[in-house]
Amino acid sequence: MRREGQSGASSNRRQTRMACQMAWQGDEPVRFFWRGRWRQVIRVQEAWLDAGRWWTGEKPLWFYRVATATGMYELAAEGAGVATAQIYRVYD
Amino acid sequence: MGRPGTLLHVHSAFSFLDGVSLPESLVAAAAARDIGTMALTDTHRLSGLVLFLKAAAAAGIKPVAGATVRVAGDGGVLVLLAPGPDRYIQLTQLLTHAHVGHPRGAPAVERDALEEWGPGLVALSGGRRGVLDRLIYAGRHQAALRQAEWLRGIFGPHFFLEVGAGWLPGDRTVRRALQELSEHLGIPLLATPEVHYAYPEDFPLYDLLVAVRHGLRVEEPHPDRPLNAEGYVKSEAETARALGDLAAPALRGAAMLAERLEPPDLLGKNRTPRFGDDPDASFKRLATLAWAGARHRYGRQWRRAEARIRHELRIITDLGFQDYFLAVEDVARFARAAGIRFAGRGSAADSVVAYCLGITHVDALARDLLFERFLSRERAETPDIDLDFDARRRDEVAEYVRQRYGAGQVAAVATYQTFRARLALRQIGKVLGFPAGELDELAKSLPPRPLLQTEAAWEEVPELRELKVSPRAHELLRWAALAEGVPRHIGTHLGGLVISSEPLLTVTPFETSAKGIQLAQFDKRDVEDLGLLKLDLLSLRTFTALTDTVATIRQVEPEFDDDRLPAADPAVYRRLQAADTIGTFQLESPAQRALARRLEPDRYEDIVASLALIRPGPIKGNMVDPFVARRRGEEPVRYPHPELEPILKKTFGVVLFQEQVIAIASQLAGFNPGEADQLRRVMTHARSTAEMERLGTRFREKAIARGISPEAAEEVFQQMVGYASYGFNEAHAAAFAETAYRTVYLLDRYPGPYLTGLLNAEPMGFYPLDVLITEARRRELAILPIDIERSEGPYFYDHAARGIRVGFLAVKGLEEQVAAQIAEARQKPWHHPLQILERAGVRPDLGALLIRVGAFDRQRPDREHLLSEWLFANPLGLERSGAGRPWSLGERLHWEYQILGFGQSEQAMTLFRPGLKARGFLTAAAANNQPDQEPIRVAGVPIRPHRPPTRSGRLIVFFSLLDETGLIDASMNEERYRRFGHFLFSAQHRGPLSVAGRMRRGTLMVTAMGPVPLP
Repeated sequence: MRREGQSGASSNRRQTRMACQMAWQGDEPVRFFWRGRWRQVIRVQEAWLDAGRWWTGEKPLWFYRVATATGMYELAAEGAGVATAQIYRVYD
Repeated sequence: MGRPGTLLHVHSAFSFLDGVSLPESLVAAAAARDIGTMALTDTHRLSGLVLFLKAAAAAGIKPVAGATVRVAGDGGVLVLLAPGPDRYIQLTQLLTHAHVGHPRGAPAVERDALEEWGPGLVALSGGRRGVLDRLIYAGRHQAALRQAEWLRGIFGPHFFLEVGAGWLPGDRTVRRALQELSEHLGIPLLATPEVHYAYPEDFPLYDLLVAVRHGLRVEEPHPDRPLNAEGYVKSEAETARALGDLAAPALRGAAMLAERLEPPDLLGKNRTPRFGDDPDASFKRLATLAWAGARHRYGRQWRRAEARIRHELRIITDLGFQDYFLAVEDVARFARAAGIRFAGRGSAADSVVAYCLGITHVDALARDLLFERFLSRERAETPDIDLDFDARRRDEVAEYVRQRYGAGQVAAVATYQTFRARLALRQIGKVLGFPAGELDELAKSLPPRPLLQTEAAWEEVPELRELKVSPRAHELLRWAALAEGVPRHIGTHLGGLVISSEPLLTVTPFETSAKGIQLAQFDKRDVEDLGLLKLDLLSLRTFTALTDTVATIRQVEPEFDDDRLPAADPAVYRRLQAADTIGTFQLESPAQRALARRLEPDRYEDIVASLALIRPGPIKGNMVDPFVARRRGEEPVRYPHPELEPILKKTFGVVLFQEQVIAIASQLAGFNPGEADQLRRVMTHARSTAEMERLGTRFREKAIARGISPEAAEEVFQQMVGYASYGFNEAHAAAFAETAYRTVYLLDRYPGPYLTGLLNAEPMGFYPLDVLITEARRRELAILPIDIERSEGPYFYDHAARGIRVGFLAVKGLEEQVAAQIAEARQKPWHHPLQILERAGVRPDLGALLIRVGAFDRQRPDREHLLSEWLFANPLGLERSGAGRPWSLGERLHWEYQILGFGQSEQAMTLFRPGLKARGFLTAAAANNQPDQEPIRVAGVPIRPHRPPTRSGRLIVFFSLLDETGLIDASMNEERYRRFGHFLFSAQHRGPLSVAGRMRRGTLMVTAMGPVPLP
């Protein structure tokens, strides 16, 4: 669980935890594979780093809020370029 | 080409809980990341600035002075920079306004203050906690626009929109809005990471300290908690990566600003107030005073001191310190005229000029003390003259200084309170969710060593081993260890006052101390670098006690003058030899009394030597045993070289004093005294083999050139190396010896007045109140109980009754004003004693305390009944049913220890005595008379257990046991400590202890220990 509410992080979103495959260009995601198809990233709206519960040994995660043709998603990855990330939130 | 990078929003550990790295560490990290211009912008303070300027100069970084301020009314923060020396004062004025105009702990800058002092300063919008980002993030774009317009109105082209590199949620949204604002209003963008620590690995500590600041548990979110570890010193490339499209214009804005920023012009200046129109006039004034003083001090013999005084005056003048001496003389003169007891301490007593000016009371000429230990051309540091004043009147002296130089030119010197082991453990432990009780026990059981060492040796520390704490305690110690030594908050130096020839605001902002005193934001090392004059006006409670003692004696001996005591009173030395010195100045500790038993002092020099011997240096340097053996004639006196006999004769060939090291280097190798003191200081502080070898070669060459054999030169050098870092300052020991002698004399001849004086000057000295009260009884003085009709505020000595009357102020929480009201209220006739309390307006709880400690026993001995009358209304005026029961001794003592901190009726061990006696336990007095090696058992309240440094490095515990007959000193070795140490040091064990052991030279060597069961 990330530390909601810190440094302005928002918290009123529906959360999910599903793995997705990732494709990158430089440090930013360009598409991700979820529910049977690739979704093209139109824009990376925000990118941030969250240290998590470091006192429990939790690793930091990079978050990307991305816009696609089908909606807005938050992806959480251990770093740019990794093959797999998590769908952290889906915006209604 | 210079380094390209800029950092303009940097918090050091001097932001107190909003930064963790010291300025030096930040500068080192910046230099490694190719930063060319760096501003230090701590929150509401400049305390790190001097360290920062020095470190930056050494690293080749252009330093800029700045601060982060909170705009009042929840306006967010603003970063202010002084673009050059001429604008620095605006920064100090704004910071002073922030502190002095707002409650302590909540500084802020009002909008009108920004409008008044802001123009000309550079302002950055403050990043994510800043005046604009907060509004933008909340979607209040119009408010952000108005705010930006207002700030641009104040700062004009010197206002910048700060773009951070923190990788936070919303950064891109905020950046887009800032870019629009920039285009709309023509305000330049400026890229700078917001720094709170030097390296990414410092992040956990930073997060913990922010949680400490807000009183949060580590799991609790808060807007100020950092979301990630991006608050470190970043290179320009790392900043650019975070800024995306905005990197180029924002970095350009930073570079252009950096180009025109200039460092403040603070260091390398002399800001000492002048006493004459020019240095010559000051010198003439100083010389005139010194010669006049010499004639007074030495009478017709004054010419004996002539060459020495000329020598000292030359050095003082060459170094430009004449005004400093005049300033100190001025203070000393005021104190003398006002009848305030004072004395100079420390190496200042090495100066004959200081003696002639009346600053010190030690005749450096007669003692042949070396001036160069105090001041020399080679050393060229600002001298440090510490003056001790009667603690009760020290503030009068400080007030005189304020009046003399003007309030704007005088302030108290700051201290930076750092996280010590216990505080770090308590505060970090609270954040990590440890129960308060567990933290308290753990903190109280910590041995005095760094936390990491404690954690590594947990099982070897009995008081920790005994504790029942969670396994996470080890983890806590490791986290808390990270905080050890980090500045935590600002404090007020005990005696330091800083004085400037120009308004202090040109150098420092002011804050207000907890006592309401105007406080500079720099500590004693900083003020020296800033060229300010620092006066150390210390409080010495012993002087308060002496003043009180003399006043009490004069009630019956009006002519008594403690400045005219006999110089070598045999009774003083008899008392010292008997180690019967509890309550005396510097000679009362168990270590001092143990030394006295061995040394058997019979002359003044023995006192001086004793004060120097019982210090960590001489103990570690193995000086005590050889000194004692030679002094007693049990070992021949040897000198490293025959030429050194005149120097070492007074210490029997042992190099005890720092002044002797200087004299040896001068005598044998022809160093001038200033060079010789440098040699001593290098020997003391530098321990590298190469450096020592260089010194040794130089010493040997010079000595051999003077006809000393190579073998002798080598031997003497090795001895100097061995002793230099352990020796003690003779002047300081001599200055303290003068007061120490006085207190032994008064304790011996006037124990009642003296102990009364001590009790009124508490807290002070080595021992708690109960020990002093027991000492008074041991000297057959009566302890006259607190009495509503007879007591005064303080304790007083009743000459007729030969007793000490306990005063109202002994009651915890009862203040002087209440005591005065009681004294006034009892003047009028009363029918019932409680009328006195009613008339005096005494609070119910305080009145109850007075009843419980027997203040009404003479008038109404039934305390229970009186308590009912005092605490419960009786509108019908009914009589109480049944007769009252007098309180038992146990009940009385219970309340006395609770309320007064000592046994007013008896010492607590009296209660245990019948049982102890039946089981063969001796009293402390009887035990002290037992022959060596006799096995004995005693019981008492443990007093001041401690583990001082030892020569061998092995652990030895010293403590005393107090019973109704006095103290017995005890010690135990490491093995016993491991078995029994928890009884002394663990918070879980309280109350009296029974101890078995054998006596050796007046000390009980412990073999077993355990708690004493309640009677």
